[in-house]
Amino acid sequence: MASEDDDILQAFIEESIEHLANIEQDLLAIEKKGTDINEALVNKVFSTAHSIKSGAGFVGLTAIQKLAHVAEHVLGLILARKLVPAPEVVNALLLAAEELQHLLDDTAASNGADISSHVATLNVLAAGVPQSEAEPAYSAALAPHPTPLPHSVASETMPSAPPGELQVKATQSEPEAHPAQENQTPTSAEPETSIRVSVSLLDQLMNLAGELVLSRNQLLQTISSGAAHEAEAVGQRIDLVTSELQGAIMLTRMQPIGNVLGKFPRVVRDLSKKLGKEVELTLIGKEVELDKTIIEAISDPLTHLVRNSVNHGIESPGERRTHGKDSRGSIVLKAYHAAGQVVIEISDDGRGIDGDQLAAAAVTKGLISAEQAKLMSAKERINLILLPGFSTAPKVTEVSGRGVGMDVVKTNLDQLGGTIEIDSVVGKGTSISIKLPLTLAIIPCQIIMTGDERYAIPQVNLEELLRIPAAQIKERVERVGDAEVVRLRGTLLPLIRMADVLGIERTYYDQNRESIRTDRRRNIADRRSRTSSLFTESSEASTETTITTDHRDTTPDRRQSPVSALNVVVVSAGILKYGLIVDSLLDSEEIVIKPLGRHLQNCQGYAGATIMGDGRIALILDVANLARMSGLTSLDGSKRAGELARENLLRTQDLQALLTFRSSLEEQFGVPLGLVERVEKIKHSEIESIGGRRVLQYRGGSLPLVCVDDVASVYPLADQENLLVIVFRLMGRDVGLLASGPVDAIEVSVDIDATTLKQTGIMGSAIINGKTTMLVDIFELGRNVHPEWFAEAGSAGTDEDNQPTVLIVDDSVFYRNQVRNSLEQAGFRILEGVDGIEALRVLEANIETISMVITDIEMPNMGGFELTRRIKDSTHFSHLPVIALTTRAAEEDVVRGKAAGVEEYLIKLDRERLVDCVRRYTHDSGRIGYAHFFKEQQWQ
Amino acid sequence: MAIAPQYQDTLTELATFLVGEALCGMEIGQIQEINKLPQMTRVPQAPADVLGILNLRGQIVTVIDLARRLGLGTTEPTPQARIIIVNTPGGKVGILVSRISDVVAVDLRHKEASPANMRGIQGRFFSGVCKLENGLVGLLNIERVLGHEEN
Repeated sequence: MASEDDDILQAFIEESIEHLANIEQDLLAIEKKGTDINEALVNKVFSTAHSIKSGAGFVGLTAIQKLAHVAEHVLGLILARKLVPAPEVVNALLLAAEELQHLLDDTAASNGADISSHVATLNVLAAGVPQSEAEPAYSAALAPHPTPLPHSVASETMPSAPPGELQVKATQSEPEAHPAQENQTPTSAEPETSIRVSVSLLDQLMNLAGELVLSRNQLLQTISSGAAHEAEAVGQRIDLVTSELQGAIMLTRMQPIGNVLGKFPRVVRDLSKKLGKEVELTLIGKEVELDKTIIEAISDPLTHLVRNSVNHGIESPGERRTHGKDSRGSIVLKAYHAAGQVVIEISDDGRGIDGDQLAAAAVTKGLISAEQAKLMSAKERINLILLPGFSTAPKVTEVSGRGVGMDVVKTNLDQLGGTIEIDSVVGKGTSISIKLPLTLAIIPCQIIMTGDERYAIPQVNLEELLRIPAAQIKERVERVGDAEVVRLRGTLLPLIRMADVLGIERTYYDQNRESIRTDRRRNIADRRSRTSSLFTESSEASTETTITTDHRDTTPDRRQSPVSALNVVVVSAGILKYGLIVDSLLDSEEIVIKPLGRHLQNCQGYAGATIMGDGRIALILDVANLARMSGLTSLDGSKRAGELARENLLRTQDLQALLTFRSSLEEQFGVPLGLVERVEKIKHSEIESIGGRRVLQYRGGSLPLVCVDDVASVYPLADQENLLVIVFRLMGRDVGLLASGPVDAIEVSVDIDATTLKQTGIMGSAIINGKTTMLVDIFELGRNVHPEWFAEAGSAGTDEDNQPTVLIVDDSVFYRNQVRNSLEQAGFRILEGVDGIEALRVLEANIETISMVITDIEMPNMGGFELTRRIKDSTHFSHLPVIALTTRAAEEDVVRGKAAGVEEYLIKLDRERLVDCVRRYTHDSGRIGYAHFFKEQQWQ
Repeated sequence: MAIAPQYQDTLTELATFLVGEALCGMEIGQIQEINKLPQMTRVPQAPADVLGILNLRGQIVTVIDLARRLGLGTTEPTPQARIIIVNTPGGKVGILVSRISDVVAVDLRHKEASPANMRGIQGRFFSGVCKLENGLVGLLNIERVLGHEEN
């Protein structure tokens, strides 16, 4: 190479590349404007070409100089409005810019490169213009400008740099620095990259450095004087300065993501042109800042995703029109901050990804088994595309066939600590969302402890921390197949014991003794827990054998002691979510990632290590790999399996939430918890007996009181001072049921015996915690004590033939009878079905008469949601209102139900609301007059 | 790293140490420092010969039990045991030895081919042996010892 100083050459290359990065966008903008020339813009591009030209001349890169020169000339003609920036002109300029980029990538070889075709094209374009002006002299010296420029080119002002920015590195504007030859730096070495930093930030850094020096001096002074209390203050000061300094230094690494996004208009334009598609690209959030390293590293994956969108996502204009879409496809690239991360979304309105097709392909390729495919949710199927060895394109096309599959994109993102999620609706479009950490160097982590060592879990992966008290472990932790799962807000979360994955001894932290103790429990799920139908006979047997008993010699049963609470870190990696059981949870800290040595490269479970405040090392966990190591992967359908297991569990066990209480001290009663408004503690002396009725002054009014023994033949209310009032809402008013303690709210799966103890006011009985419990029918109770409340409604006669018919679907005979009784009393005709399938059959046969459907959710063969979907999808039944009955209305269930098309969600055994609701819907459907609903009065 | 050629015609300083029963030596220039056993962090799932990782002034260094690596069983953490921090192309590595011996000057021209087996250590881990007054010292080929190839 020639005798240029490497520094100057390097500065020239960097600056030129930076210029070229913007030039494409500018050229495209110029093309868009057409004859309506934006002078400032053209000027900017013009001076860029000029800077490159003169710089290249200075460092002796003749080919670059020549190419930049002809480009500058053409731009000069555009500026002078002698040449219209038609697509072919802009195309030639774009190609020239691209060529310049190539030449700059390898400056050593650039002088030998063949640029004649580009030069010729541009010259032809220029020649098409009347040559009133002589072609500018082509020399290494600064050329005269065909038109005056706003910037003085000689001063080499960066046209793209905002004011107030300083060029940290020397540029070619220091011509006197001609170097000595003895610079021995090998040219093959990776050129050091430089970065632009604003002057104000540098000033801030200087200030902070000054502060740090001052603090150090103070510290030295304090140490020599031995004043301990001052040392504390100095320590605080240093702490403050250090963190500020850290923050400021991190800022120097931050760059706007626009640096990467800026190239996509060109990519999309060229690609769509080549494919004959019309695509509109929208960039949002160019100003979002990210660490320089990350910006550089996401360029390739993003390019791949954008090209994919154009190539596979957006359909051809004709195809789009036949599907009733705008012939112009749209791709939106959007960057924004969310929860301490940067999210980049690439969404298109193209044909979408067919998850089923992907699943089929994955099975064909042997990547997953057919059973696995069956278990997968729609989202999991779409995300199959990220599996290694999976290429969706039937053939590698010129466009996307760059050898980078989606799995490589994922691998790249994994390395950055980022995640990728794909959402797609066939025919509607695809949305890919990438989440990236703001910076790689320092990450916030949750510190945990297992086996006497600390570990760090990146906050990015952290969902929540969960502590399951010993008393609840039995209720909440269960076994599904080989895996342990925990109930968390209605879903089952797979659990991984960190000690097991890492093959270290299970320990637990005994807070009482402040020591680490060996844990000998093999299963958290207590075999003494209630029997679950999840366990088939055989697996039940095998679980039995693997359970070793607690060590009872030294400690009392740890199952019920506080130390045996489970500490669970709920983590997520992509769509995979699981609970990691650890010994104890420590603080959240910001840590600096350090790589592990080559001898530990095979340890998949760690993403690196960090040095803690006390100088010891904590390993950083890689939660995705931990899951893989423990055999839990999302693609095994773990989440789906969890859902299925849950559905299985609920299908066979109707869980009923009950409030248990006593009236006399001997007998236990229960009422559905959903009907209870409040429970109040009262004194016996507060009860007033007036007019043969018992009332209680309550919230400024009189609360009528009833007792179970008012109606049913049970022992009288306990004669004691402390009593309870369970408040219900009945026929629009509050009613208090007198009771005695203890009360307990429990969720039980019980067989309700509807005959043995049935009497007025008692709907049946069940055995709860070993005690026979009578279930109080609060509706019947109220009606017997205060019949006048129920008599207020009209008593219009009914036309027998006009009774609306309601279909009741429930697998439990008890609940079905309850609903039937209530509704028959209210004057409805009833048809019954034990599950969704039978219900559909009954519907088919009685479509003429049935006016609404009331269904249980969890049933064998076909559940309530599925039934609702079928009803709503069917042309014959879709007009039928559907009410879902459940024993407990969890938030998610309600949402799921509404999604399926359920009109109303009611709690089982809430007779009043049920009748009211049925009345409302059948009335709406116009089959029956209002008065009919009160037919029950005539029944009495 | 093989013995650098420019030393071959002069005396070379070797740091010698005991691995199990065998006296081994390493060119002193390859060694950064020698430490007493510091507090180490265990790495579950690591290969058996990796003892753990330690914090060497802000750098994370993997510590390997040399005896275990060479198939001699575990080194007892006696008060004499030391960790030698070696500079390798792949970064710094700490090796645990049972005892440090003298620094000796040897003439590498008198180096002899290593025997097939030296006190239980395979010959291929040595680049040769040198005679000292009190016996033989094996010149450890530390690159081969620490390299990826499993013994």
